[in-house]
Amino acid sequence: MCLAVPARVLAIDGVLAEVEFGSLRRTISLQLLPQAQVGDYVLVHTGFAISIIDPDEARLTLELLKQMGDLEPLDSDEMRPVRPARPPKPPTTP
Amino acid sequence: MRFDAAFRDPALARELIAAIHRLADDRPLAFMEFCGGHTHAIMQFGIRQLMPPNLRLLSGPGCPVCVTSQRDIDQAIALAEVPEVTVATFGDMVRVPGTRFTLQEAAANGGDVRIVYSPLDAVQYAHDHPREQVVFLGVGFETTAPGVAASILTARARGIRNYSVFSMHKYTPPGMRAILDAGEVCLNGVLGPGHVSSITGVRWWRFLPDVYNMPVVIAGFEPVDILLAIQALVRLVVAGKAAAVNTYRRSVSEAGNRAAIGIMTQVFEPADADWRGFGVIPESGMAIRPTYRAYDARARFALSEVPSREPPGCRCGDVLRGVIEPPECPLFGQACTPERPKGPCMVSDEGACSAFYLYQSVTLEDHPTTLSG
Amino acid sequence: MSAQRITLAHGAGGRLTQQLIHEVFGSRFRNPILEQMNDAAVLAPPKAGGRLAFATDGHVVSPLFFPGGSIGDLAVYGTVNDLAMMGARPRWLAASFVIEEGFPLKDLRRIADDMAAAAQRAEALLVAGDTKVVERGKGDGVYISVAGVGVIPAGVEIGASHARPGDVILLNAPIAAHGMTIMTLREGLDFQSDLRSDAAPLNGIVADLLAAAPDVHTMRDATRGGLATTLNELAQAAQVGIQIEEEAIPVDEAARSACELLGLDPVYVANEGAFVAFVPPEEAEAALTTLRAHPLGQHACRIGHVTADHPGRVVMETPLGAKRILPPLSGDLLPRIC
Repeated sequence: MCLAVPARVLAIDGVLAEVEFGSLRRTISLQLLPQAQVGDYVLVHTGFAISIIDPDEARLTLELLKQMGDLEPLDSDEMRPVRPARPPKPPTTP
Repeated sequence: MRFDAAFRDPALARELIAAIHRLADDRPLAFMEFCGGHTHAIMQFGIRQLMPPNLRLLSGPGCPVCVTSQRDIDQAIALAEVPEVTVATFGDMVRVPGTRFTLQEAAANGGDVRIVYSPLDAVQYAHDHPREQVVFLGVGFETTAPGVAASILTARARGIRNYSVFSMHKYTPPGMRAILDAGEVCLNGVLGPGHVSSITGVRWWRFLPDVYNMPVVIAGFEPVDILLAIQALVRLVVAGKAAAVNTYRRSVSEAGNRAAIGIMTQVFEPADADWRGFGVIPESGMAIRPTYRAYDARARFALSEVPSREPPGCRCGDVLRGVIEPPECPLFGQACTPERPKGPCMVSDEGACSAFYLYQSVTLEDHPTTLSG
Repeated sequence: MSAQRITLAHGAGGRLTQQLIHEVFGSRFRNPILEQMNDAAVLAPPKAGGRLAFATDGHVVSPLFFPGGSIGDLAVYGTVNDLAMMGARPRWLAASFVIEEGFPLKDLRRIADDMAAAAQRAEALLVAGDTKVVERGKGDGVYISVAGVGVIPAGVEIGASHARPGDVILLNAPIAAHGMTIMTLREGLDFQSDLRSDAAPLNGIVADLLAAAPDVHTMRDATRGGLATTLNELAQAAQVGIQIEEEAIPVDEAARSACELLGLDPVYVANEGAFVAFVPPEEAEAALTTLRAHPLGQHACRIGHVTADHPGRVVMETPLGAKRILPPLSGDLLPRIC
């Protein structure tokens, strides 16, 4: 939820990695993402890599969107029926 | 691949907006974006005004600075006034008004306050300044807490003894449950926090469909991400199905970041915590485990017992529970502005009030937008 | 002088003060007026019809030296640019230094070097100055104040109140470079980057602009508070509305990455070489072409227009086509994290 920004891993030295955000470079920690490798894209938050960004998933999402945004399949194997929701309050007038 | 650019494509965004209009029809819909970062992005990109009038977006309590209790704020500020203490903090905390004054004002009065980008910078500072007691203000949800936990482990590994953390960290699911249990807002679905779930995994958010029969869609933060997620929520509601859907698949997995969860769990344990607007929510806070007591600022320092008082008239609590929108607070834009904030919701860039104030939309009546469909 | 650092004696007014002034400043700012070493500089009045513009700017910046410039450059350009924004040709500058005891002389010389070079680029003369020394702990290294006098040629009338609905708003250069350069150098926020301050004297490009588009109504450089704050000031002063397009605003990649990383909006970040000009529509094309022909305006572009709607307010259209009010900066620009 908080500010996490994509970066690319340029070099790794033990638990530290040099990453680049665009042309900015900084040393960050891989303590939370020890499996990161040089060349990976990672999300960086407060000086830590917290997640690997999967370029294939990114491309897939974009391709599906570009084809037919409307028909992108909902991804879940646990669909279950809901009871009808209580009618929400009417929107406040602007 | 420049991820941000691709997920900001205005053409894709407009297609999604049109799709949302078609699907939503004139069905009344209310979705809560849990995360303050989503509120901020939604307001910044002007997404609210581009939604059909029957689709309401409500801001939730996912602003860690905002939900910090007044007492915690006051104790953090009081720490800065202790002579040998240097408080290290993220920037957002510095302008939050305590009962007496802000951290920034405490610094102007002679207190030692340093803004840092990472808790590891605070650890390094502690190493470089052995005569100062460095206290890091630990604010944040599951996105941030693992890094703070790692900073404690790092300090321990390096034998740094003058570093401690004042933990105000909280878990997100209890906050979401508290909103639903209170029954004050009627929701059709939840826009789930993208970066929190990159740590926790979609797993931690399945309680919404499982227990509350509430659809949740985990979303990223670019305009296309958010619109895709809103579209997915509309589709779920139309289909009458409660499910947890992940539309931020490039960064979020089912199980999350196990290493990060492990480190967070190693250092922190659940404890009751006082949330602004909610009172005490059981097992919702992260307390530093007894093993790491040496790094716990609450154990190391005698904390201020000066009575805490929320600013009179401040309705941050109601905003955080989604009960009112910021402009409905009588102080909004009058007595409470970013220059002279009364409560944290107007200070924090994750706060709904500051997002509403900074990104006031120009209403459709004044200036019709170029929306097709 | 054999001393390495400034001492209180350097500010006492005696021999050491004279030596300091000669060695550090006099040797670098050679001109007939300064060489008189009088208590005040005596200046010739402007030609018939010309008017004087007078501005002052104080500078406290940390770090003192950064990619793209130093406090010396900022001290000169700050005042030069204030004058240029009124259509004035900067002529004479006076500099006042308050130096903290213990400040390294080598840094002072370097600052003076930068100021001399900056004044030369701006084609302005430093004709008066003063130095004071304060006790250690009572100053932040060095504070520099520069006051400047410029000459506005006859017939040139530029100011906020001249802004008119329909005016085209031009911006000469990408924004956010200066502020992000400084911020990323701050302790605890250290990133390696190609970021450079955009500090530059704007009087040259302004002179070119006025030659091609003599009816420029308003100009202002987007310093503290950034583009958004500057536009708000102008909207308020002129009681006109301003509409801009977010997508039209140029931001270099390094500055944009830095802003994203620290959660900052580029429109609120300080600049030292970027300005806006409100130009009547019939002169807009000539103005833009001229700006683009100058090294400091290669990326000049149209970012919006002045309107009679919503006087005093700035409205920005987002890339998605939504419109929102763009308020001025409140408080400090603090990096947000969480």
